[in-house]
Amino acid sequence: MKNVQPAVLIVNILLLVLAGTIVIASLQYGFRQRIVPLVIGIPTLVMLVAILLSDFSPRLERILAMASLGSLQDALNEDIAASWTRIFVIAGWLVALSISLFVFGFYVTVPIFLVAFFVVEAKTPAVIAVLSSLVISAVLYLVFPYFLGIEIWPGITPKVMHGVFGGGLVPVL
Amino acid sequence: MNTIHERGRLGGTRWWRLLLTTALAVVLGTVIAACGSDEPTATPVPAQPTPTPVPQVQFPEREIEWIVGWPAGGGFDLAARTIGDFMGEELGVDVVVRNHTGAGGRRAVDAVRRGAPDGYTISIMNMPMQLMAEKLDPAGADFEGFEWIGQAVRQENIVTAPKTASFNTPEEVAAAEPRICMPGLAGHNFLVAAVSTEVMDIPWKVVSGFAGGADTRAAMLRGECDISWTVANPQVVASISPEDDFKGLWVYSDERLDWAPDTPTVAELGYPELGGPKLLNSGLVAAPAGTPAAIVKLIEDSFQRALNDPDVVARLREGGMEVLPMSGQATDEAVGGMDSLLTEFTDVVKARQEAQ
Amino acid sequence: MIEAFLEGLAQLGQPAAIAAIVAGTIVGVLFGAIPGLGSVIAMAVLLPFTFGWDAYIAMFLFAGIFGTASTGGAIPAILLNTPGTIANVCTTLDGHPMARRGEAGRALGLAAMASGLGTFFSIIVLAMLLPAAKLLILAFGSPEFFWLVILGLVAVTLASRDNLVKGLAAGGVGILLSLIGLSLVFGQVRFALDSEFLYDGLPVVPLVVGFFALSELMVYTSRGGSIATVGEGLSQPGIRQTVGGALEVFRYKRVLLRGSIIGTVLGAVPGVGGAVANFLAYTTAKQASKTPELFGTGYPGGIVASESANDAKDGGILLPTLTFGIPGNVEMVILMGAFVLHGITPGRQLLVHNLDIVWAIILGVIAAQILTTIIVVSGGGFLAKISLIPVRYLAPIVAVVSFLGVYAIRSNPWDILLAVVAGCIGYLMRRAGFPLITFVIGFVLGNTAERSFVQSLQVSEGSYTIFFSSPISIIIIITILIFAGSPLIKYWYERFTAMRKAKLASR
Repeated sequence: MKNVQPAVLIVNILLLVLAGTIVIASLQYGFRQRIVPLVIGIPTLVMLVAILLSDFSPRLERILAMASLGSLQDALNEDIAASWTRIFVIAGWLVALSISLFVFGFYVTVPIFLVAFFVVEAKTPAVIAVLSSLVISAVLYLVFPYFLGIEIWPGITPKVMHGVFGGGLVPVL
Repeated sequence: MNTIHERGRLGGTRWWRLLLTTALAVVLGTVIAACGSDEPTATPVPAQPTPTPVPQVQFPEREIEWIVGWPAGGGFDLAARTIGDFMGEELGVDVVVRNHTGAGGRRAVDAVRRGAPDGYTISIMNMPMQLMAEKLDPAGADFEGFEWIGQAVRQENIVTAPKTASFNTPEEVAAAEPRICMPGLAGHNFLVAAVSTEVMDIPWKVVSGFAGGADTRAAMLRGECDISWTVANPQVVASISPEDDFKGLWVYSDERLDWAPDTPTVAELGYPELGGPKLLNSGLVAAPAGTPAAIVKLIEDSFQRALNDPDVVARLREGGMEVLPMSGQATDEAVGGMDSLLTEFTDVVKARQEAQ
Repeated sequence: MIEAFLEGLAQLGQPAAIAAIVAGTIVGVLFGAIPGLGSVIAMAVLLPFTFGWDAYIAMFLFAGIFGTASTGGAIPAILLNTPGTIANVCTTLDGHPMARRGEAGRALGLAAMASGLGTFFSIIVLAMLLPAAKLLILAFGSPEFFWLVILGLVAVTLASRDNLVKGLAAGGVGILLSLIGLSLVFGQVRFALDSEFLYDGLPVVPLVVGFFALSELMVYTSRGGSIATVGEGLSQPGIRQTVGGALEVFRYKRVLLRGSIIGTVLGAVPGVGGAVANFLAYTTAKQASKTPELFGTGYPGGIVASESANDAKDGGILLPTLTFGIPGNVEMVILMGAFVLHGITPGRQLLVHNLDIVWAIILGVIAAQILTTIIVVSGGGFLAKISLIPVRYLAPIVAVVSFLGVYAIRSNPWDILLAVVAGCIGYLMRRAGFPLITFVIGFVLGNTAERSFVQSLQVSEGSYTIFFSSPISIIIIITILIFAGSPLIKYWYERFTAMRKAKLASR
């Protein structure tokens, strides 16, 4: 057994769960409604299981490589590999941004996020960071809501300023 | 009864959905709830138990949002924008149309059901289809207490078939057992077809999943299906003209339509129960339950004036829609009429949907 | 016909018309270039503004938008490895490696010129086919459509050569996920867990923005520095490089022609769309090439194939829209909304009563595309400078703008969270070697395949012979067999001879 790539394992299990859920759920429907989920789903599940097990069985790996018309190792995208800590930090920024957008809305979040990112990640002096983030935010707001009338999410917080900060009607999940 | 049982059981799922949504909203929101002062939602209007108008009401003070459950460019979107422009000029604020697309137009209903009752949110709903959607949803949310503003527009229904088709009357159609062309087994045309085939005893044989009315007409010319229920938009009107390939079999209005003088009404063919406004695709406008009567009156009056404006009417007609002003009160009654018809046919529609 | 053409041409000369085309082009390129936004939003947003305009002017505006958005989408595809629209996915494969080598200008030039020529080709085809459109549309029923979709799905196997099992698995999951939500052909909501959010299925834009824009953002931010690593011997991106790139297109005449044909044909079939045209053109180019190994390493031919196809679809897609009123995609639905708004009845009457409007749109698309090509080629040097900006300044802006686009699609804040989740999954999938492109193609085509399959059976009242009963179906089936079979046979043949040689040598 060789060292198992964590990304491969996580993705494999995730895809298996997604595909498996749909295949199992399709059993409750009539013939025509389940035919495509089953015809596509079962081979997909087989392939995913084989990929999962190939990490533990060199022989299976050889078979898969043959079927893949190439080597499985080659497929691993080394070009984008970076240290996982770094990836977690960046993903953290994105997750924080999205949650903050959801809660506090665009008007509040965007300038604060830009300042924070410029200062923490880009090591920009605070004054420049604040000024540039204000300019960027102003341009975005001028173009999108003001000129084009595109709706901007105000956030789910209690209404503070109409249409700008808080009071958004969250759609039912 | 079976339906009541289902209502209760699946009502629970709707409950957790709402709970999840609000819980997330509340938990995350409490953080700044402490520091954020809650602005009074509307101008302090004394709550009026009777619909006596209060002329001194301070409304509107900011833009009014008009929610449309469909993407920009559709018929009801056009109606909302045209009428909204007129109202905006009258009321002195912008009436902004918001396209909250999704869930088959139900987000527009949701906006009224859950929105703040301050008059700054109104929405246009396509009825009776939204009513049917709610009836088919076991959670079965109701339209109780909606403050109806009126009917913006409505579209006629017509049944068409290729000119070469051998059938004309419902009896002939029933005997010919044609394949029915449906853009989808959801939506207005499906609803009308499902109810009509039941009443007219036409076998339910359907070919579905076309990309709109023009695609169904192409399919009829290809011989993939034979008959189609559709709302009468300008394309349909053109398609039954003498130089085109289709004929109209019947319409659902009370009287024959001036653009299809040879096409009989359902009442003439012996099915008066299907005629009239109950099954027409109507764009009805409402404000949330509990909106102060004075504000509703202000909005309704401006809305009704818009529908009597010749420019507004001309533009809506060009878009293939009928303008038939209806007061809020009359709209409320019309919804009641739709409701009783649909209640009768909910099981039929459900069975037709599940027939595939 | 000639009269209407001249009428359209005369309208084009008006100052207001020129202004509308310029405005449409700018909006189209801008919205195309921003991940998440696209011509759909641009047209939907501007539709109300055209209230009360002259119909011609409005049509020029919309022609400018939908004709140019996919050219705009090539800009971030090249510079940031982030397709601006879903139809630019394959442009990233060769465009971005060029940008990283410091050849962003050249890549932009190639993309702009290939787009321009692709549009030109398809518009000429459209103009010639207008009279014969009825025949074409009547020949293409649901079984033929089904096979065409299958052809698109089979191309997934070609795209994931060397990585077939993971490619197919990702494509399969894409298909399965596309089945979530309301199926119009069944009238039922499947796999949606009673959720209103999933009623219409997983929304494609947040998914694609997450997969490409956000996952790539993680990549280049973690890498640091700037996109282009300008080293010795590499020229600075500039105008000369862009113009050189634009002229280079003519060295790939066959790739260009093939891409344009594929784009036009797939565009003309309603519901297939630019993503598939783009993908199929790229894989066919790679398949037909003498040097397939160069594809994906920054090979100019790859950009030419991808961009010519996704712009050529604009001409094709107008064919069913203008002649029958069948909208080929969402942009066309809005365009038809614009017709109605301006008192024009779309459909077959259009060619009889409003031929001048048809010509106005056709000429508008051509004028806008010429303008776009000029803008991108002349501005390419400037745009390419973006690849020299440190990513730590670029990344937060890209993130914010992407989320703006995701929300604007349908004003649903949950989509913002979905995009982030898709971004993280997308990154993991790439790192684990599951190609995102096959996933996306599966997702785009999955429920279309199912719909046309079931629809065909409804037409035939249950008989499966309908799938094999028309000459067009047979032709597409043969194409599928050639497509699917050739790489396998080629590979196994090579392997077999190599093994025999090895055996002989070891003796």
